[in-house]
Amino acid sequence: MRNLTKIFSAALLVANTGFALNSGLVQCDGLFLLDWKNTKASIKGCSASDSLQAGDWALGASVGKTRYHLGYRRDSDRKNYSWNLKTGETLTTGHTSLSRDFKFFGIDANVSALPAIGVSSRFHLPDSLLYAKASINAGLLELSGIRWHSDWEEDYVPTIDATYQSTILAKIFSAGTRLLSHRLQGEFFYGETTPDIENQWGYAFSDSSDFWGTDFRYLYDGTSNKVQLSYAYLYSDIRLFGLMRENSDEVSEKRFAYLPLGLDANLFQANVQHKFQDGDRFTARAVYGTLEINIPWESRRFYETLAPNRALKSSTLKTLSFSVFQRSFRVYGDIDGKVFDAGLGYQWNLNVGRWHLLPKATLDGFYASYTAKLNMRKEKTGFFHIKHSTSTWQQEGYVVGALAGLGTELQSPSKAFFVSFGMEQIIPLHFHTEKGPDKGPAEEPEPPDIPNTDEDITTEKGKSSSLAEKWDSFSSLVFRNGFALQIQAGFRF
Amino acid sequence: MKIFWLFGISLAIATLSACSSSSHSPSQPEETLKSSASASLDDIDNILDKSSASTGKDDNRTEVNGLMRSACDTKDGESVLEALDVVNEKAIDLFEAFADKDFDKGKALSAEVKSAYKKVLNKAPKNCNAQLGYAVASIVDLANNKTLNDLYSDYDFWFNDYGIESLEDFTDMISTLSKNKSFTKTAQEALEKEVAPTVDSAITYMQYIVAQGDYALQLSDGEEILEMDNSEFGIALGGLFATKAAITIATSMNLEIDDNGSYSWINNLDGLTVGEEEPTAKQKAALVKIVNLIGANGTFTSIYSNKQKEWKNVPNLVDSALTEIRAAFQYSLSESMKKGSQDYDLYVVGKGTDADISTSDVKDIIENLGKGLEATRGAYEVELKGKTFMVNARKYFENVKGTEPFLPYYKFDGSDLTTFKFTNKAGTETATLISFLDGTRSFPDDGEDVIIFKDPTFGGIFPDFEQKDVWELIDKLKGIRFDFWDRDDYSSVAASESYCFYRDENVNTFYSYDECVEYGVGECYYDCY
Repeated sequence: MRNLTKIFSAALLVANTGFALNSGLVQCDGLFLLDWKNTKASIKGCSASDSLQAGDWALGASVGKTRYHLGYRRDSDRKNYSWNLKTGETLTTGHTSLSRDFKFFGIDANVSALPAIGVSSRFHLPDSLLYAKASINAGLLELSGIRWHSDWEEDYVPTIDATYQSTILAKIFSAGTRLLSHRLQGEFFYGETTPDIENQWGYAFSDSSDFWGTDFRYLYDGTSNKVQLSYAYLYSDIRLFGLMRENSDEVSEKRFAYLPLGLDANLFQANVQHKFQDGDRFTARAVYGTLEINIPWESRRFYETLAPNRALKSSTLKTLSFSVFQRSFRVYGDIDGKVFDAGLGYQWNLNVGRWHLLPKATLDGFYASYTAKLNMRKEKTGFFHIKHSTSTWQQEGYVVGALAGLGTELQSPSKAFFVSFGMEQIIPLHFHTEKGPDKGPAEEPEPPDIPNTDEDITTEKGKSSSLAEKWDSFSSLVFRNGFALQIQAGFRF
Repeated sequence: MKIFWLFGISLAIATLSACSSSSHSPSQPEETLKSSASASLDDIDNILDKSSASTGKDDNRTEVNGLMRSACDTKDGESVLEALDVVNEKAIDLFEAFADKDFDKGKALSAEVKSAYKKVLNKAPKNCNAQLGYAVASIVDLANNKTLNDLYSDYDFWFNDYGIESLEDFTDMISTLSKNKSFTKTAQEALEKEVAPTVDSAITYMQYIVAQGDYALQLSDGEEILEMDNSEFGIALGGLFATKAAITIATSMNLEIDDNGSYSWINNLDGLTVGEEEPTAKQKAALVKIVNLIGANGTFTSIYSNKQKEWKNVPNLVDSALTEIRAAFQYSLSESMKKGSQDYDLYVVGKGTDADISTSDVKDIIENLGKGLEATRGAYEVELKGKTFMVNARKYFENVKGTEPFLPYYKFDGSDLTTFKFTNKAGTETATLISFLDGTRSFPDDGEDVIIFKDPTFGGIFPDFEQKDVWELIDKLKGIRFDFWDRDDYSSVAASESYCFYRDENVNTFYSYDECVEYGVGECYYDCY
């Protein structure tokens, strides 16, 4: 991190020599996504960045602080089924990048404080009639401060303090063509994550996953009109797992959690912008995305979704628990979701003396829906005792809402300096959830946990609530949920 | 202390064992094994009457209906095997019912299952599955024992419905429960006549099973297979031995505390303090009763003459318990070295993530059980808060005279507490008991000079002890830590030095107040809630 700061300082120094094109940005963002009774999710942070172009060289650097907080609470009538799951951390972020252009080639290198490192090489014909790029990126993914805590203090495992750590390696290939104002580009990427748990003790989470995806886009950049059409696809097989790792005479590591996930995501986007002669801008956009998550059936021993006995620390009690009271759970099923969003925006260009004031307003309407069918198989074994039972939990629902945005930007006469402010608010207009018939033994009241809507605004099957009826509930969500804020100040000379 | 810890574990085992994608397209679990048992327990007689030839195979294991069967089970023929499949399935339901806390269903099933195993056992007395099933079902069927159920109901009423909140409530309870016979005698007789024979019988059957060496029983829920072998049978047998030891201890001791059938004298102890003020006349009278119970010629905790032989055998029972449990873990460890031998076991011992328990954990348990055995068989070195000394727990069971051999020199006329005087060996008075009760002297600080034990080795339990060692041990015990309570749960615990502690959450270690101060580990709590 200290090295990154030095590089950042060096970049600023070089920028001040006056032989370079320099731009800098100070930015603060906040996304307050959820603040419901049982679920909290927010992230906020500030960063400062600077980029510099001098001849064939380009240099970029940034430093910042980011704070995130995620929390989920599970309430149950029974104390031993109530628990909290939360994670939160303040991260110091940093990033530097270096680029060099040659006649037909270019190379880029970047380093971030994750830590992560990436290098890429570019090939391009004059005027970018044809161009191609290949990149390789590697980094460490870490999520620390994960804490699960049971309401039942006497639970065999009342608290789990865990860290997730994994390394990622991704390779990206892209190629495109530019003809006049038209650009067509295709990209293919693939990669994998590898467990990194060697130095983790206690409850260690990691994953062994692979993924690939594509991205195709068409861009038109005319004098007064801009059009962007894109399609992206992501396929991933994720294998998350949790180990209890202890280091005594010899390393003891036992898998107590395993969750394979198959993930398919599609994203279509269309953006159109028209710039009027007076500088006003009109924008229109549409987004359609789908997400399919499949949790495949996994029958292998030691690959249960959760095997609490193996989460116990080494002890005689742990050993005896396998003979007396062994429980394990296997969850499998599908969760599918889709979202459609369409919106319009307008940005005014007002002159205040020689300065430019650019207020803007956007309004989107969105529709998102999901269906979930999850099965939970409970396996019970003990001395002279083996039984299994499966319960099914189904739910589907949708939400209709609006996304309203307001913002403004103030530019200096030469446009070398600017400050901007923007905020966006999700306004849910209508929720609907419909719970399918649960199947399975009545003594298994605990459905698997999946993202759920707030109980207060869940409607019964066949009922749909009007805006007026639910406005009180909805209004309590505004500004606490789905609220984003951005403040920027920058320069360019 | 370790021997008691191990003993406790053994007892717990006995109690518990008695109760107890490449393409991510969804797929469903498939029923791979169909239940072989379509008949009910009512059909047991018919199944057993079917004539059938023995499988006659000498191989250790034969596959029948998807399950591997040991020769001990197949030698009695298909009809017995078929009957056992039916009963085993019900036995699984029985344990399922108890696991789900459906006690009514469990009780009903246990009677049926026990009876059904008995029928099979009558037909095939050397059948391992039948013996195992009957042993287990017999223990579980104690839930149907009327005497035990009546006892449980009585205590359940007093402790849960009525609610014992005072000494007077307690006295009321034991007086009510002792109308026809003392409550202690009632409980001892229930253990001796109802529980002990069942445990003895179960031990005999389990010993036969374990003696087979490689006997294994596979069960199935129609899909998965579960295999039980000596890893489990040994622990169960050890648990039964420990239970037998506990029953012997509980039934051999004279625990009578009545005064000619009355317990009202206990109420007089109410408000008694030690080291603060002189006891009242009533309290003194109650203390006289206690002194007579535990003093010279006192009967409390003495061993009944007809039980003395069994009492002296308790160390052997504990020894058997630990030996069987250790053998069970050794069996687990040896299985971990044979590929495929643990595929269906309740738990898999091994290195790496594809196992339930690490081999090092099992080795640790075996080592600790070995230490427990050493402690059971003779003098064993113990360390307590820096003091190292030898303990021979076996010697405790050579004493049949209750507390008498542990007493200090004293003289007492048996009626007036003020006549209770500690003396030296020569009979010269050193202090009065009252002086410790009214605060004139402090216990244990002032005890060493005036309380002289007749036998500082306590009958050989502490073979190297002299007088000073006894007092040093008492001093160490004074501040012993109670690390099984959480500080947050202390609201109901009376404040005293012994209960105050500091918990270092980083290493989850508890310190007594004295240790906390001595080691400087953090904020030390003296006054508990």
